[in-house]
Amino acid sequence: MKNRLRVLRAMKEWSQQDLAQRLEVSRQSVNAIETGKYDPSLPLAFRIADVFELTIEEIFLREEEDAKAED
Amino acid sequence: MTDGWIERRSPGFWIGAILGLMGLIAGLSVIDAIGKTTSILLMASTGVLLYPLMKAGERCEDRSGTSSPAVRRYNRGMLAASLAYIAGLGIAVWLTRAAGLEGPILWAIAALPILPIFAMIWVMARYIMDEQDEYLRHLAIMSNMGGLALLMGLASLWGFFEEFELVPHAPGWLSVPVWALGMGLTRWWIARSNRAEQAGGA
Repeated sequence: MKNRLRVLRAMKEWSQQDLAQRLEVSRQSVNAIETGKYDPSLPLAFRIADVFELTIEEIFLREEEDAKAED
Repeated sequence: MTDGWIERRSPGFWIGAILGLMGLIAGLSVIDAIGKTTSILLMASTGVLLYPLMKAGERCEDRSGTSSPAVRRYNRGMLAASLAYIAGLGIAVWLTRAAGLEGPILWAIAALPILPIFAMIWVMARYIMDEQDEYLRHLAIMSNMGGLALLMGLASLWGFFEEFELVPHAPGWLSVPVWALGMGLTRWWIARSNRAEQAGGA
């Protein structure tokens, strides 16, 4: 599943470590989620959404949305 | 040799040192330069190098952002269980050879090293229960799957080869090192793939 985490993090000028501290997870977790190697659980996705003050859908993209965005 | 020198060594250095020393001791034993009991005790004594190996591993975990309080507890638990395994194996072999044990005592002594193996499984299970970071928990489970795949694949393959008398008999106690090797290789492969992904996305 694709996501906008890297872009949102850059907008806040946070490093992966900064975001990891806010989410209380390891930096490697942030990296794995950003690169799409790992899809977070629903509770963690909600925590990510809370940190950015957005909804989950504004951060994580469904496959079809992703395909549309690429067209 | 200073503390700084020791702290700069990588996990690979300590793994190389342990394997190198074990190879040297095995070589000396093969040419009869040292006795069997001495070689077993010397092999067991290389276990002290597991401590700097663990510390070097923790420094890597800190750098790669894969550390957590549960990881630290896991490392210490695994170190204690590994040392107990080496000590148990050493004591069992030494007592059997030196005291010429027989009967139920021999069975009990020979079974001694399996207790730390169950301790290792318990440390792993407790880690999976304690770890709050779901990605690190996922990594631990995938590493275990890698260890299981290597162990079951290799043991079955070797068993079939043995059946057709293509290879010599392999001792069953090799299963623990093979499992650990499989876990280590899986962790290394995942870390390598994550680094490549990070470099590509940077």
